[in-house]
Order: sequence, then C-alpha cells, then structure tokens
Amino acid sequence: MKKSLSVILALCLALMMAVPALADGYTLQDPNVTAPGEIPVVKEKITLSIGITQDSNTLSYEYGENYMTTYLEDLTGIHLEWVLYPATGSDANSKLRLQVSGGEELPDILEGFDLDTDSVREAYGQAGALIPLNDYIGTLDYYHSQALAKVPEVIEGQDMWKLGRSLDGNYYGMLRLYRTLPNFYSARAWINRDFVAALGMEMPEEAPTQEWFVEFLRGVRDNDVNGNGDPNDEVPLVGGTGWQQNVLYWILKQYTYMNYADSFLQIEDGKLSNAYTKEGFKEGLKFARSLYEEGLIPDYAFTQDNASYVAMIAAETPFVGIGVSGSCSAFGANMPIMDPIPVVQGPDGYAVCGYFSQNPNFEQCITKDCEHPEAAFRMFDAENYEKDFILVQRWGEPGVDWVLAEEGSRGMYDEMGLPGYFTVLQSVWGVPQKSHWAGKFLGGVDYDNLNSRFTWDGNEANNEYKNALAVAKQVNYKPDEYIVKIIYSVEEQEDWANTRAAIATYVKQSMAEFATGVRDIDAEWDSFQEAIKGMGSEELLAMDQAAYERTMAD
Amino acid sequence: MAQTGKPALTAKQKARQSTIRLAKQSWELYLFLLIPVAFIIIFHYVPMIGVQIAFRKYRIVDGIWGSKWVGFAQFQKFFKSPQFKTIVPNTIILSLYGLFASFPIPIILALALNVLRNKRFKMTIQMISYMPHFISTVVLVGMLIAILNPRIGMYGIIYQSFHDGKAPKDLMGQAGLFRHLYVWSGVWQNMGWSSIIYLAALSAVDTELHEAAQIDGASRYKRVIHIDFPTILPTAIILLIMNAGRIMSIGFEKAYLMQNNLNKSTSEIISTYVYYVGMTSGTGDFSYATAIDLFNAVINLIMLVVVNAISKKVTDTSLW
Repeated sequence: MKKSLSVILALCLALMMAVPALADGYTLQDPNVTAPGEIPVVKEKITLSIGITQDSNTLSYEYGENYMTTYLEDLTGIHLEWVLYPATGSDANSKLRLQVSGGEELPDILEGFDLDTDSVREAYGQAGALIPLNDYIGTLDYYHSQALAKVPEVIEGQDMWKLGRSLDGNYYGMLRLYRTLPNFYSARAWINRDFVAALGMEMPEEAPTQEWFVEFLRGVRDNDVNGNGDPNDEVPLVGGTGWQQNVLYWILKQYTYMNYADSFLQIEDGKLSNAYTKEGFKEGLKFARSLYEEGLIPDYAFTQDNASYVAMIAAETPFVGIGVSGSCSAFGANMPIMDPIPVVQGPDGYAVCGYFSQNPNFEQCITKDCEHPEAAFRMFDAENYEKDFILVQRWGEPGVDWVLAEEGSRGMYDEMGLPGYFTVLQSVWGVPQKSHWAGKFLGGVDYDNLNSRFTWDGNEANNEYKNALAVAKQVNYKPDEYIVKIIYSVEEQEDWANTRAAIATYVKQSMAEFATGVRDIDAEWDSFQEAIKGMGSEELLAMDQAAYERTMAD
Repeated sequence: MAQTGKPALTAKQKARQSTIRLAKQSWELYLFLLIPVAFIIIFHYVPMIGVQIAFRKYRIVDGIWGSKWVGFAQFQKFFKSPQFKTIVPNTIILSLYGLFASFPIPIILALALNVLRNKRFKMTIQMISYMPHFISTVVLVGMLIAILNPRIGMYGIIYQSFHDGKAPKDLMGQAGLFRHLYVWSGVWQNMGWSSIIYLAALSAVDTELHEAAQIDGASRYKRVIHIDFPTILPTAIILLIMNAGRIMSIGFEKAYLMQNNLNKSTSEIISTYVYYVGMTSGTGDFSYATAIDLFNAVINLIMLVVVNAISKKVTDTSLW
C-alpha cells in the first residue's frame, strides 16, 4: 500500500517535472524552457536571431561588447544573432515587406519597423509571418503581468492589452509601456528671454495673449534686441521642416486644435472631424499671412531643412525671437536663454496645446520561422525581471552611464510628483556608444515613470530641464478630449492610406501657400474645400469614425 | 502570292543559316554574349512577370499570383486623382526643359575643348568639369540648399552685405524657380561627363579633312562647323533619341530632395507623388505604384518610337 502510494507520488512528481502545467492549463511545448518566473528562461543555451533596423551610433550589438546584449544574454541564457536592416526606417520597412510577401525566411524575433501600426502587424499576422501570442499572454508573462498590474492608471479607461489586439482577435505583439513625460507634450516653441527683457516686456506666467505675442514679434523686427548694432538681422519667428518645427501648426493652435499629426483629426464628444474644414483653420492661416506680410515670419521658415534651421538658431549672436522646435538642444549654446512658450492665446482666448497620448506599443513580435517561440516570449517577459532595465534601454550601463540617486534627491519633474530616482553620469543617447541598442527593441513596462525621474543639479543649460519647464507650462492647456487610438483593419488601411497621404500632402502644401499669399485664402477657400472633398475626405472621415467607435467599443 | 513569298523566305533562311555557321566558327566570341543576355533575362525580363500586379489589387497575404484581378481600376484611380492634372505637366515640362537645356551644352563644351591647343589646360578643364558628376544627388542638393539659404548661406550673406543686412527672398521656396534650379544644377553637374562621349567621337575625325580644309582657307571656326560638328551629329542624335525615351522616368531623388511645401506646385512630379501616396503610407500600395510606372513606361516607349521616326525622316540617323 505504502509502496504503491510512493510510486504514484513519484510518478506524479516526475510528470510534473517533465511537463510543468500552468495555472490555466497551458502546457509548455518546449522541454528546454523553464517554468514561468524562473531565470534563466532556458535550460540549455539557445540562439535566436533578432531583426532590427540598424543604428549608426551603436558601435556593436555583440555579446561581451554591448552592455544591454550581455545583460539580456546572461539573464535569459539566449544568445542573440543580429540581423541588421537598413538604418532608414522606410528602407527597412520595404525590405521587410518584400521578405514577407516573398515568403522568405525571417529572423526569429522582429522589433520596431512599422510593426506598431496595427494594420501592418495584422497583415503580417494574416500572411502567417508573425505568430499570435494569445496563448502565452496570461500564462508565460510572469514578470510582465506583475509590472502591468502596478501601472497606476489605465489609459483613458481602456484595457491596455486591448489597444494592441488586431481585428482578427489575435495579439501579434508584446505589450510594452515606455513613457517619457516630455513626449506627451512635444509640440514646443522657445522664446529668447533676453529679447523679452531688451524690449522692456514681461514674460507672462501663463500663455501670453495674441497682442503680447504680436507686440513681441514687432519689437524683435524693429529693434536691435541682440545689440550687435544691426537692427535688421533679427528674425521674429522662425521654424523649419524637421521634428515639430512647423511654424504654421504652432500658430494655428491659437484657433483650432492641431496635434501635429498628418491626419488633422479632431474630436468633440466622440465625433471626429478634420481640422482643415474648420473656420478656425482659415482664421489661423489668415493670421499667419498677416504675420508673414508684416515681415514677422520669413519665407524660409516654411522650407528650410533641419540642418539650416539649427545652424540659424544656434548662431553665435542669437537673432531668433521665437523658434518652433520639439527639442531645445537644437539651440546649442543659445539654449540657456530660450524659455518655453508652448502656446499662445488666440483672440477668443482659445489655447490648447498638442497632446500625444503615449499608448503601449506592440512592436516586439515572434515570426513563423522561430523554432523556440516560448523561449522568445520568455525573453520578452524577462525584460521586466528588474525594474531598472527600463533605464538601461535609454540611459545605458548602470554605474557607468548612470547611478541610482539618494533617497529624496531633487528630480527634474519634482513638481509633477516624480522624485529623483537616478543621476545621469554621461549621456549615451545620440552619440556613439556600446551601452544599449539606441531605442531599438525597447521592452518592459515603466510603471513607475522611471524614465522621467532623473535628478537635476540646478544647471539650466540642460535640454531635459528645458523640456521639464515646457511640460509644466503645457499641462494646463491639455485638451479635454483627445483620440487615444484608432485601430484600422488591413482593408481600411489598404483602401484609405493613399487617400489620407494625398490629402495630407495637399493640405500641407496649401497651408504654406495660403500663409505666404501665393494663393488667396478668402478667394480660394471654397475651391480648397471642394478639392479636398474631391479627394475623398468625407468618406475618409466616415471610415475614421467607424474605426474609432469600433476601437473604443468592447 | 505564295510563290512570290517563297523565294524571299528561303533567302532569309539562307542568311540565317550562314549566321549560324558563322557563329559556330567563332563560338568563343559568341560566348561573351552569354553574360549580358543572362543579365538582361534575369534582371529585366523575369521581373516583368510582376507587372501583372498593376491589374490586380495586390495584397501581401495573397501574393502576386493570388491577388484579385481589378482590370484598369488602378489606372483609372490615377487618371481621376485631382493631382493628375498638375503632376503630369510638371513631369513633362521639367523633363523636356532638362533635355533641351542639357543636350547642347556638352556638345559645345566638347567642340570647344577639341580645338584647345594647350593639352595640359585642356585636361585640367576636362577634369574639373566632369568631377561634379561624382557628387551624389543627396550631397548636391544639400550643397544647393546650404549655398542658397537666405540667412546663413553664401548667397544670403553676399546679398545681405549689399542690402543693409536684409535677407533676400528664399529661392528654394519659389515655385517659379524650382525648374531652373533643378535643370541648371543638373547641367553644371553633368556637362563635363556627358561631353566625354562627344570628345571620343571627335577623336575619330580624319585629320586629312582638316588639312584639306586648311589648304582651302577655312578658318578654325568654319572647320568646327563644317567638319567637327557633322562628325558628332549622329552620336548626338542617337543620344537625343535615347533620352527622349526616358522623358517620363525623370529621377525621383533630386526632385524629392529639393521639394518643399512652397514649391510643390511645380516640383511635384509623378515619381514623388507615387512615393508619397504609394510607398510612405501603410503597407505600401504596390499595385498603384506599379500601374503608374507602367503608364510611364508606355509613354516613354511612344516617345522613343516617335522621335526615332522623326529623326529617320529628317536626318537619316535612327536606332533601327
């Protein structure tokens, strides 16, 4: 009796060890993979190939050379073999598309590309290039689900996983929540505070009024505010064609909501509409034209590329009054004297800044050619094993590039309830480095907003400090309602993508032409509306509305 | 009819047989043909199978062979698009302007270089004039933008020093100037390189002709007009015909790089439009892009045939 009991017990034990049965019945297929929560994630070392777009600043991705690679490999027991795609996003996307449509062999894991676009991910999933992760979610995501449970808020009342579900009901990508506070408010402009002082004006605490704004611009135009003896060299307001440099988008925010995205979508009580059909859009462009004709915006503000723009605003003798730019570091040595002026009140007091809801991403995917999908998924999970790994991905090697700060250190975003957590020793972002993968293959859930919790030493010549100032000025002008996300189906994307692109191209061109008076907005407003309708803007909007409602429904 | 046809056929067959015999005799020489022929088959004929997606609604999921047939829907979409009216004329005007501006200048340069006596001077000029050819389009446009910047560019700084520090108008932002900038920067870049083929043709001029003309008392100028120029005329015409066959397929890169919202009304050409609409959005509309390119290719073919026919009539020089 005893003997048979012990035999049965031993048998049970052996069975349990052989196939670890999981909470809700999922059974590991791969005997080499350890139970969820165990580190390393594999018993015998395996190799997975990983496809990412190459970053020219990352000098090496290899184990033993790159800190992040070494960390992950030591942690998981998975050796990574690198498949590097062209550095230019569109080239990399095209290459991947051709590989998928040609049925070629893909790397085991893909990250980035345009895989965060739901319809792209779904198309690849339907083509059989990506495998659904449905079975692994809620079973193998041991650390990941723990981290996700700690996220204090749900985004606009939405279940975060739902925002990554394809319309066929599958999840083809791993959820990652990686947020940087300044990026919620990346539509920024910067005003030269020395010029404000030279004009005897006072920088208002809140958003300045339009009268104040125009008075400042005229003052810069007419006076030698930089004191170099030449009253003509000052440029009141300028922008470029680089990241968040569009001067018209920025001016239009005094009249109507612009979120700097090519869709021009606005939302009110759940109803979508297009900015370019609004009276405010027309009024804003008329105002921009009056500024242009007064010589307050130069013509090259609409055409110059990032290189020319940066050379201009970083000039040794500053001559720019207000520069529209997502980043303050573009001002170079002039950075300390540039203060954020995120938004200006329009004639009716309208002032709403652009807001970018930072949703979870779903761009870590496993392909059909992966022989160890469970191990790959467990590697994604292991990104949440240590919460500081979030910092490694952006700030580099602990102890070398950054260190943990003492309790109670002053954080850059202290006022926003984010005390200092770590101190940056040297920046490894945008410079040649071997610390991380330069923003490629970010994973994990930043539930504690670690990424925004760096300490501040009181030095004002700091891009992050300037961003923090800008955020503080913008939070009060956050829109009441904004579009969290619209998930399009593959068909919707295929049928409408080029209509959307054609309209956006035409609207951007028309904006510049209206503002510079190449076309007269009063005379041509109706024909402009007709042209856009002719391109299918109303049908497009109806499709957007349906897709939005579907995304928000349960 | 059949009887009169038969001897002609046999004559042809005879000719063919002798060609085969000749080929057998010197097969080693024909072996050289193998590589280029294979190249053309692999890289130019095999991909043509994919042209069918212009008549399908191509989806990644279904692949080239599985996607739905839609007939001429993609072409209709292009013809009906509001931009069709501007981008097709833009393309043709830019291309013709480029063709006619860049065609005579290398000929003149070659003729001028050919009469230079100082060999060292001639080589130096030739070298300097063809060097810009090796600058990539991206760099060339970057130079153009940097030089023409009204505030910090060379043009801007010179202008400011004469106008009390006031910055000039932005040349890149003027729709009317786009074509001139495009074409003449191209002429500057390529005239030296394009003149090489004419210089080669000029070296074939029989020196006896020149001597005879000199004895007859022809001036240097007259000799250029009556001896040198006619010698390179067939080369020039062949090149013109071939360029005419490329009218619609004007390069994408340069126009794209020079483009901005203010000059788009003249700088938006077919290829940049296809790029914006077909390639940068979503998963890419390969069918649409293929259809537009096929349309381009047909126009090119027609142009080639027409120009060739005209040339055959007028100058007796033709491709076939």
